[in-house]
Amino acid sequence: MNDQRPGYFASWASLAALAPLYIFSTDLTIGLVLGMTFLVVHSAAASIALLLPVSFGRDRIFVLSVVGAAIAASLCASTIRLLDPFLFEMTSHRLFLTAFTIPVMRAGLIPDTISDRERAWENVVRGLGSAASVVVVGAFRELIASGAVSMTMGQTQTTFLPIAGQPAGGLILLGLAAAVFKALLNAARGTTR
Amino acid sequence: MSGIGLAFYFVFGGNVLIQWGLLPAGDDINKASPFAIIFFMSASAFAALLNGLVYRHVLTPFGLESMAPVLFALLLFGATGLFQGIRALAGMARMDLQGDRSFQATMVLYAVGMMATGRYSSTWYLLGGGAAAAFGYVAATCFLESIMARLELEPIPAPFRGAPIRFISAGLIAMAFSGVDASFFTVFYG
Repeated sequence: MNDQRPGYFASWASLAALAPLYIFSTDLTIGLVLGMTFLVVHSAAASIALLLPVSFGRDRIFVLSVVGAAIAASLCASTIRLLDPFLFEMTSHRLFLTAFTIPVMRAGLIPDTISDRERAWENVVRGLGSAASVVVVGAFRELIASGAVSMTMGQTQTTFLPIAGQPAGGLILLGLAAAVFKALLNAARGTTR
Repeated sequence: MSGIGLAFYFVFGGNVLIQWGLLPAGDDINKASPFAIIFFMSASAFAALLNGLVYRHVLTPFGLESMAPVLFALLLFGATGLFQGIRALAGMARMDLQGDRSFQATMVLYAVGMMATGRYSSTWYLLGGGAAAAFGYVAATCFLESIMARLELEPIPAPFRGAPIRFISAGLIAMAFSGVDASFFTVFYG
């Protein structure tokens, strides 16, 4: 199968790893909440893995990083609850899942070599990029679902293309976006694979 | 919810996980032994039970719902430590807990736990709902892998090969499942 080759598998895995957040991100407000939470949680896991002494051991550092990420998710949820209890009720389960996504768990792994430690800042950039993509997906899905984008949740009616706001529509849009991206990449490289 | 409703859910329980984008990362599920599938279903059932009971009887009365992921993480690592200890006593090798497969399994376990907590309140339904959702996830994963194997024989345009067609197939499966869910399960069993 094409997507079982190492390069394809890696790119597929990284896209699939964020798929739950893309599917949950149905509008701009939820996208912002999920994106911000993901950024905080991802940064917390990466920081703990980087700052803890190596003498703690690989397994212990991983456990502490994941627990730290879960605490960060809890704090984000509490903050959202203080700001807008209704938004918390609507998004709490989606927020909780961010702590257990594959990118966050990967960020919780201790860097293997000195070179990896020096490139740890890339984790922050990766988290920032992923968080931004979640927000963009939310805004885009709201736009094509309702024909408008609003900062207030529930203000827009999903009458334009309602399927875009549904989970199934999210997966299909993700597939189409991946195909367009792949076509552009192939065109840039001059390949037809 | 009635027992019949739960049994029905056994068939379609995985739809929520598919709808949530918790997709399989490969065709390993088709090679998994029945023992591994039963173990996964049991782990899901206990994860749903623990998550549900703790959420309802420990966190909610004190208004500490936000602490749910922390508690789940502690329970997860507690259970993992116990399991590793049992394996060590039995002279078996340690499990790899830091691979993508383990990460994905963790996420699915938590998703199953949250899903069952939201739908059921009794102990037995939490156990059954967790196992049902896990079975549904495995079933949907097998369906998707079979579809992908069949699509290998079709002349798919180059940009759609690999991940894109997999996402689109998963979306169509999710749409079909949610249609059946909305038409039968929700209407008849609430």
